[in-house]
Amino acid sequence: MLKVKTPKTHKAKRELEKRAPKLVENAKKTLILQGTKTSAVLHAVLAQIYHLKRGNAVRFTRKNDNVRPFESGGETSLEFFSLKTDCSLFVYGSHSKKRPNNLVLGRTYDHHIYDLVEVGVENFKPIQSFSYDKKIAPRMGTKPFFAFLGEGFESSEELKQLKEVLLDLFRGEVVDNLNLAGVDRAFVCTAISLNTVLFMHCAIRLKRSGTAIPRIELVEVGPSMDLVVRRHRLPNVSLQKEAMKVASKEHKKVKNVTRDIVQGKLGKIYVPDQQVGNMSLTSNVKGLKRERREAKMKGASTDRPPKKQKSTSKD
Amino acid sequence: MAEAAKMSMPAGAVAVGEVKYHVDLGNLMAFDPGHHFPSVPSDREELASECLKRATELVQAVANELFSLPATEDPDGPIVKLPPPTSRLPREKHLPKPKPPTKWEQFAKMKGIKKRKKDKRVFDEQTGTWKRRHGYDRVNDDKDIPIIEAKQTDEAGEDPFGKRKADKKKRVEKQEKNRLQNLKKASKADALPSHVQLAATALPITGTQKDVPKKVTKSELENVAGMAASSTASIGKFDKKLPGEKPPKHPGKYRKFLPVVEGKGMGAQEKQQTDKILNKILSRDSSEILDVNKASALLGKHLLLAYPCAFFARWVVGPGSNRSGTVSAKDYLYSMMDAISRCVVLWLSCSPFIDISGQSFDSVVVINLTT
Repeated sequence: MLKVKTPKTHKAKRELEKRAPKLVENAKKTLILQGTKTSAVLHAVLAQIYHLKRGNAVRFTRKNDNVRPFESGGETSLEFFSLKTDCSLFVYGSHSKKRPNNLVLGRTYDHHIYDLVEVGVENFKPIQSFSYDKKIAPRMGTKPFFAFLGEGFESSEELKQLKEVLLDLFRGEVVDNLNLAGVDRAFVCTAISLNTVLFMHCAIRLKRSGTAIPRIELVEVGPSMDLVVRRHRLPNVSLQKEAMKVASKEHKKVKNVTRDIVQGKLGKIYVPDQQVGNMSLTSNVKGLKRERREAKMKGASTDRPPKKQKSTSKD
Repeated sequence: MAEAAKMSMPAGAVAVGEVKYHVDLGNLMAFDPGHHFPSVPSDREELASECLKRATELVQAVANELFSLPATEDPDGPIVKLPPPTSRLPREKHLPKPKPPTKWEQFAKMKGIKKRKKDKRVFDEQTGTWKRRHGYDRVNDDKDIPIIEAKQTDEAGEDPFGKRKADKKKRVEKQEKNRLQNLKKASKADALPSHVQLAATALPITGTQKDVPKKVTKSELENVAGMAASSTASIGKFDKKLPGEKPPKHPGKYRKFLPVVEGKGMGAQEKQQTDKILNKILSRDSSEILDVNKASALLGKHLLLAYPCAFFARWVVGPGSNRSGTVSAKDYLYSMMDAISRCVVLWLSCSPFIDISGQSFDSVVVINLTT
C-alpha cells in the first residue's frame, strides 16, 4: 500500500512549496563551504563572498573531507548539501600544495552538478583594506551592475564559462521592476590574460550631470582579487539543453485586428450571407398576424384608401 | 544580444567615438569584448585605476539606457520596468510538469460537466434554518436524523442507523482510494504536488510499483556478505575476518546417502524414490518409444520379482521381442504385466520354499489389478 506523506504544519507546507520547481524561479541560493584545509586568505575570501551574498547564501563552517567536485564520487555529498539547503550555486574553498588558495565555483541543475570552474585566488585585498566614504557603501541585497572587460571573455572557453558563472553567482534575483534609487554597486571583471581575471567590487556614486541621466562614478570598496582559472568542466550538452528550456509562451494569434498609427485599432468583420429563404419565422411576425391575413383574404375590393405619402402632404 | 550603444559621454569625460558594447539591461550587464591592454600595468594600483576608468564607461552605458526607461514615481524612488535578461543562464530546477487530469476530470470533460460554485450556506428544510454545506453542524447531517421510516425491503434485524453509517464510511474509503490512484498517476508523470510525498508502507500492490524496492533483510545481507567473503581462491580460508563478521552458515555441500537397510522413515525413502520413478514411467504417454532393455531393467530393479520375473516375462512375451529391439512402451508394459501376473501364479504354486517379503508382494498385486 502507498502512504501519503504531507507536512503536518502549514509552515512546513509553505517551505516545501518554496522549493518546488516553478515557472518563474526564485533567486538562486549559494552554498559556501570548505574542504579539510584552508588558508587564512581563503577563509577571508569565503567569508567576504558570503558577506556579498548575505541573505541569499548558506555558509558551512565545518570541514568537509569528502567533497571533491571534480572527482567522481566526490560530488555525492555536495549534491546532498545542495538538496538539503536548496542551493543551486556553490563556492567550495580548499588549500593544498598543488593548488593553493583554490576556489571551485559551480552550479547545479535539479541538485546535480551542472558545471564547474576552478580558480586560484591571488592578490586578494579584503574589504577592510579599502577606505572610502561609508555613506556610499552598498546596501545588502541590491541589484548590482556588471562590467566585463576584455577579449578573453569571448576568445577563451574557460573565461567565457567563468563570466557566466560569476554573472549567475552575483546577479541576485531577476526582477521586473527596479528602483533607480537603489542602484549602488557594480562588479568589475577584467580579463588580464587568457586565464586570469581581475575581480573588483565597486560602489556607484550618482552625480549630477545636468540631464536626467546621472553621471556615474565608481569607487572601489573591495574585495578585489585575481582569479586564475585552473580546471573547468563544461555542462553536459543534453543537460544544458534541458536546463536552458524556457516555458513556451502560448500567446494566441489575434486575428483580424490591426493597429495603425493614424487610425488606431482596426478590426475586420466578416458578415456571412443572409439566407432569408431558410429563415424560420416565428408566430409573432407582424405580417403573419391573423387580422392581417384575413384582411388580405377579403381582397383588394374593400380597400382602405392608400396612405398619403409624406412628401406629397408637405406640398 | 549585441547592441550598439552610442556613448553620450557626460561633460568632462574623454570623447570616445562609436564603441561597440554588449549591453544586457535585464542583468544590468555590459561587456566590452574589444578591450585590450596594450601592456598590462605591473603596478596593481595603476591596473585597478585603469580598469575602473574603463568600467565606469561601461556602467555609464548601462545607466544611460536604464535611466532613459520610462519611470513611475514612488515614495521610495523612481521605479522602472526592466526588460527580460538577454544573456541566458540555466534554470535551477526543471520546468514544472503539467498535472495529469484525474479520473473525474476526464469523465467530466467527456460529459461536458462544468465546475460551478456552490454556496457555503444552504437552507436546511428539516430544521428550517441556514446551515453550512460541509463540516460541523452541516445540512442533511446523518446525526440529525432521529427516525428512519421502515420500508418493505428492509431486512429484519438490521440497524438502519448503523447501515447509514457503514455506507458513509464505505463512500469515504472509496474516495480515499480514488484519491490515491490519482496521486499515483500524478507521481508517474512526475507532477506530484510539492507538499505530497508517496511512501510505500507495505508490500506493493501486485503488478504495480516496480520502482518500490524490496527491503533486504538482515539475514539475507549476512548470507550474501558471507558468500562474498568466501568467494576467494582459497574459499575464504586465509581471509581476515572483519569485526562482527560471522562465519558462513553452510560452508560445505551436504550429500545425502540413503540407508542401505530398509525400514521406516529414512529407511523407506529408497522405496519411495523408486516408486516415484515407476509412476512416472507408467503415466507417460504411450506413444513414446522405450528401450526394452532399459525398461525391463528399470522394472526389474523396482519390482519384487526382479530378475526372475523379467526373465520369465521375456520368455512369456515370446521370442519376437529381441533384446535390443524397441516396441511401444505401453504394449510392452502390458505384455510384461500380463507375463508377470502369470509368473506370479506360477511362482506362488511353488512358493512355500521361497521367502517373499509381504510388502513387495503387495505391489505386484496392485499392478496386476490395474492391468
